[in-house]
Amino acid sequence: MTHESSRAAPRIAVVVPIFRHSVLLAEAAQCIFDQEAPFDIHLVLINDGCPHRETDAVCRDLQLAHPDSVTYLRKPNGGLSDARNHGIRHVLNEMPSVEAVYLLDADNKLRPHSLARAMAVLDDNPDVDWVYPNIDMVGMEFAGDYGGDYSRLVHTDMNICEAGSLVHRRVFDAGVFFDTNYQLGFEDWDFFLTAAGAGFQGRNLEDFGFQYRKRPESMLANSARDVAMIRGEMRQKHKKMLSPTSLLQMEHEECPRYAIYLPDTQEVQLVVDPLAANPRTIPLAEFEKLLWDHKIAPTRTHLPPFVVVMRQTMLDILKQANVLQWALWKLEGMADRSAISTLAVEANLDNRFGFSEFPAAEGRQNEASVLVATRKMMLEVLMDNSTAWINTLVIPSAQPSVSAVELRVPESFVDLETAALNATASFDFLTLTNRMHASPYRASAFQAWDWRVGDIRSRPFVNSIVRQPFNGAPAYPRLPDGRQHMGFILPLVEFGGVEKVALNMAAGMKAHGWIPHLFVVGANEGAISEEWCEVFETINFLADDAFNLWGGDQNAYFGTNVPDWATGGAHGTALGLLSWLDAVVNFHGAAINGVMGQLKRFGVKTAISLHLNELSPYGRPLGNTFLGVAYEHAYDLFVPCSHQLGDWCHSMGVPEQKIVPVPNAPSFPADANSLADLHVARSHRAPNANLRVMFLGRLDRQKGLDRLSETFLESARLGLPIDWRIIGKAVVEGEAPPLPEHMMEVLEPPLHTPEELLAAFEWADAMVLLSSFEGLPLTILEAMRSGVVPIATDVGAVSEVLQQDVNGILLDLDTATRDCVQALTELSADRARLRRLSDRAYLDMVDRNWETETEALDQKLHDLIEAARRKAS
Amino acid sequence: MNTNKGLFLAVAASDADRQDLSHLPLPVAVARVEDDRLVVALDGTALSIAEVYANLAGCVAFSDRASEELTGIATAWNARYGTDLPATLTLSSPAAEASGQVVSWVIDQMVAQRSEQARRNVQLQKDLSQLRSTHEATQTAFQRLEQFVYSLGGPRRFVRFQLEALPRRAPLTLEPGDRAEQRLPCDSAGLSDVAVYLAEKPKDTEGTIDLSLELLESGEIKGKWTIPAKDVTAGWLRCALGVCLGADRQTPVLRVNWHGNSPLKLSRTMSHPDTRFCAARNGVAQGFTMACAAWASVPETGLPLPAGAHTNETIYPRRWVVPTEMMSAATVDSPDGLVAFKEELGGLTVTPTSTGPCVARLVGGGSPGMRHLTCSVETKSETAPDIEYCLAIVPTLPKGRLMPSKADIEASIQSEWLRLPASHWAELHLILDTPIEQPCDICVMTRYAGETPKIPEEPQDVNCCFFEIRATA
Repeated sequence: MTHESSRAAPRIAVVVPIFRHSVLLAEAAQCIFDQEAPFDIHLVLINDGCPHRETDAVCRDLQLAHPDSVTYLRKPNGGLSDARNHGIRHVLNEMPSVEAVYLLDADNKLRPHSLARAMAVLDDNPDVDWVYPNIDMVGMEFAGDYGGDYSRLVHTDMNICEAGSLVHRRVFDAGVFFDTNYQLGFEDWDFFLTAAGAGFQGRNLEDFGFQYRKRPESMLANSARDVAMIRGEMRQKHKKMLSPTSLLQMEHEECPRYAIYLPDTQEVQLVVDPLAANPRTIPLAEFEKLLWDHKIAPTRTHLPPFVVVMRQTMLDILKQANVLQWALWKLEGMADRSAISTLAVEANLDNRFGFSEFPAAEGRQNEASVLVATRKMMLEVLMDNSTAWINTLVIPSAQPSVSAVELRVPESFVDLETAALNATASFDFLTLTNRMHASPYRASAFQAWDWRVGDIRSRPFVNSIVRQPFNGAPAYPRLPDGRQHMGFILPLVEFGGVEKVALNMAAGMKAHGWIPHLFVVGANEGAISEEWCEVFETINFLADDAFNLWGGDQNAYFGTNVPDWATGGAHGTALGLLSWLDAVVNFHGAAINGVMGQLKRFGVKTAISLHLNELSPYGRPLGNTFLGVAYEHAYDLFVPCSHQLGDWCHSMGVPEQKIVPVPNAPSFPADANSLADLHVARSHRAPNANLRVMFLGRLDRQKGLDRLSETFLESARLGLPIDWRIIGKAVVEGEAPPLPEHMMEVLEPPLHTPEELLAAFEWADAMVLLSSFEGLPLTILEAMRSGVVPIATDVGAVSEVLQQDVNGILLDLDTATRDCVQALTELSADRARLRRLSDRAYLDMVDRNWETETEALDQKLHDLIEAARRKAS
Repeated sequence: MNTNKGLFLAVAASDADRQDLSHLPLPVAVARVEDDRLVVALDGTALSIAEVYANLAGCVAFSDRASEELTGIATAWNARYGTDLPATLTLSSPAAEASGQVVSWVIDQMVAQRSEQARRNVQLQKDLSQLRSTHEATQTAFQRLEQFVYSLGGPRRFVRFQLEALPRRAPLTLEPGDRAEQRLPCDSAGLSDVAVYLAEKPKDTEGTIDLSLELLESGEIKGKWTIPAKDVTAGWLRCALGVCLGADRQTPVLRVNWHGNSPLKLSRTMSHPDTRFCAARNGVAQGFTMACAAWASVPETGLPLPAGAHTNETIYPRRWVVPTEMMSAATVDSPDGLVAFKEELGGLTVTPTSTGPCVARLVGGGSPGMRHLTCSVETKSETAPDIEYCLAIVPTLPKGRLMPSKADIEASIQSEWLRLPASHWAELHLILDTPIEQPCDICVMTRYAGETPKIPEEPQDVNCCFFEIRATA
């Protein structure tokens, strides 16, 4: 390799690829010779195999005439990108003094101070890696302004950097070059996007002095016709940068979505995630300036598309209630439709957690603690001569369209009195609006200022870029924080076994370092207690009217209906809600199976938690298990609650490596020492006392209500020395057969607290469970932990924990009633046997807990995430 | 990076050790193909790809083997440069004759290149002459267009924008030596005048105000004015270019430098959130825009100067026109006259309502250098009586006086009173013995003709119009 010796040490090399511009080239070269700069500039001409002899002649003449400042390279035709790369590589190899490369097309021009000015920007700003111009066109007259802060997010949607930019050498040294696959144009867009993805950033120089020759049938005009194809290729190439997580991060850093006005501090936070570290906070006066600056030049200055009004106190309350980000997400979606949406917080005296939505607020806005308004609506109001229209917001005949959310939380969750005192959002909003309207900057919005046309057309709509993966639905405003987040998706939260499993699995995963989040997809409220709030960092509701858990009968998979929403619904809302998570677990969410494939493509690890095969009235297995298998390809993991169910999944075609059983464990905590003491006390019970027998659970067809009733009657008829307790209520109303009167007389209401449950188990000697079908019932495990002997039908995975006459009694389903009565008779008479079974039942549950049972799942997820990370790098 | 080390010849490696190479008239480099790549070395040093392409005059082969090697080198050359290897000369003569053969061969090539260059030069000259012809035709056509436009009354300087002064807001105050800068909210194409608004007349009448108009992108200064403070009053300070700026659109920036011993107060207009559009004082943005205005017309045309505007250049022929804005701001002498600029008539109506003359004063309408003033007049009415029209020059009135007195009028330099029947158009002429030396005012006057004129019952329907007051040197 030789170094071309030189008396000059140029700081800038200008690379000019030439193909078929043999005459205009001289003009381009002359404008370089005319540059006025305090440093040397070297011109590198690359003849890209141009068939015109004139090109070669002109280049040779230029080189001969300016031997110290012109290099002429010739190469076979390879396209514009290849020619540029050829010239750049020559500069890097042969001109060590060059600090920056300017890319000039042979038919464009520069004004005399262009390169000196651009270099000064690089010199004065070490964090700037390339300087790009406004585009003043010659030929077809147009002048485009590309000013404002550089934004990678905007850059993913449109090309904001003309190739005629000055690029620091370090960008090329890092291996960023033009992609020679781009033959139809937009090669400069890809180049700068690649540079941005590598961590470099650009800056606009307003008075760069770049002149672009625009002709109707130029290469760029050609590529406009192929733009759809090129965009698709770029999306694929820059997949990581265009991932939802990456877009969200860029949005937060560059173009925050929310302007949260805090009236109590007179500050405005510009954020996407209000809980992210170091939110950008500015004084109200600065926000005022920003707002009007955006109005005057929307393509230069970003203003968040949503103005949120709430007091700092209210922000803290929503955070305490685990719903802050969900509330913003929800209100944003509503504001899309009504321009103003509001949220009020109220006490739920039934200790339930949920919300109601009102498309028309009808006065509820006056009690709002949070108000979200669109920027568009606000600017329209501010440009009106009077604020009379918006000032009707808080009167009964409010003219603006306002929607409302009422969030109801148990009294113990948050300081509701403080929340009530801060229910001033609508009034605070009016204060804000009127102040903005009185701004001295307002007059300037009625005047045109810049002679160039603002051409960064994407900037005013930049936040819609983040929504693109979700078909325009809002993206959940949550940023990566270095922790691993897992979503638990439930159709509803009541007192069912699936919910208890979800809660406990979440607690187990939390012990392994995961951050659990609750997503309720089929209801707007639930029995979400403080315990749930302690386990789950956030509580979220899908709240999509179009979502239907099981609706539709268009498709079925081996006899299980595939919900219409899964196959043909609008998934954007759900995707926007869930895509930020590292992993999701679907707990019988039925239709939500439909989004799992898309989540997986976003990089979310997907898992389905399965509990039991349900039976049709005619005994045919169906339900979420079959639905899960139908969507097997969409899941990374299958998480059955028993090994038996895991075997079933394998038999249905789920690969073994995808199956990670998380066997159930007792669903509420109990102190080991207390349990031990109670078990010792149990051994001192009087041997001739009545046998204490309990049923605990839902009173429905699944739980074998008919068999229970017969057993109860028969034991009474035989005069067995048994004390009965029947505890529970019908949860799924439609499937509960009428409760016999004799059982109504002894029926006790459900028990919910661990204390109540433990007390019930402490009382009982045995527990009957005569279900028609089951998974791995939690009550059996909880009973065994307390030394209660289970007497249960051998269905589902019951036999995985119960061994006949070892730690319990298994009954054949067909003869369950007879066998149960027999078992009760025997146990009543043989207390030694009762004791033996009790002791073994107790011992079998000593080390069974959710932290232990979820270890394998935790490891598997980490393995998957690590494998994905290695593949990406 | 000087690649012009001079021409050289190349031989294949198999000829590299020949003794007779030193007899060749040009340096000889050795070309070979290594790993499919072309390498050319001169005196043992590999040459860069640029140097090789620029300076290789041709190849010489002394043997069949060398010729064969050169075939491979030609392939590598094509792969690198996308074109054919320069000509190869095959020598088989004894060494002594080789040099002469090479010289002849090089000369033949140079002659061919020279011819090609000459052909190109001739073509370029032809292109230039065509371009010149086109330019001359464009100039001629443009001149004809200008003449046509002038024959229709001439091009006008039209207001491009006017950001009004807010008198109740504190002005931008320049202390002695300060400078102010304001980016204008327009592009530069066709710009003809710029103006700032003085909140008050500077107390130091010995000072000077320097204004300049710069184009941001090219850095060119397109207009410079130096105005003595004694020549300015409160209000718009308008600075005119003799020739409008060209069609190349750039961003204009107005700069004001004050050299005086007292403050200079420039009125401000609205606040602006973008510092680019805020006035800057000594480089520091002030948060508001300066009150300013600009006019424009057809790019690169020479226009009559607006009366009352300042100019630092003398453009011949010297012409002025009283701007429409000045006519709209005409002050009137008495309640017995009706004065108004009527857009629908395109002129200033000065209609007497009594027997005395109705006088309208155009403040600053007289500019130094004017000698011959003309004005079109007509009574726009079907039934009005005869009206007499007159044009006069009066000295600038002292502060506080709105209108000249009768004595001032009688002492002024006037044209003849021209009697016109209704709906007849005529031109008034006022030719001065000597050109105007100091800025002064123009008065336009009307009165009813005859000794006992009949005053119409509805004098407001009698529109005595003055159009287009122009002047030449």
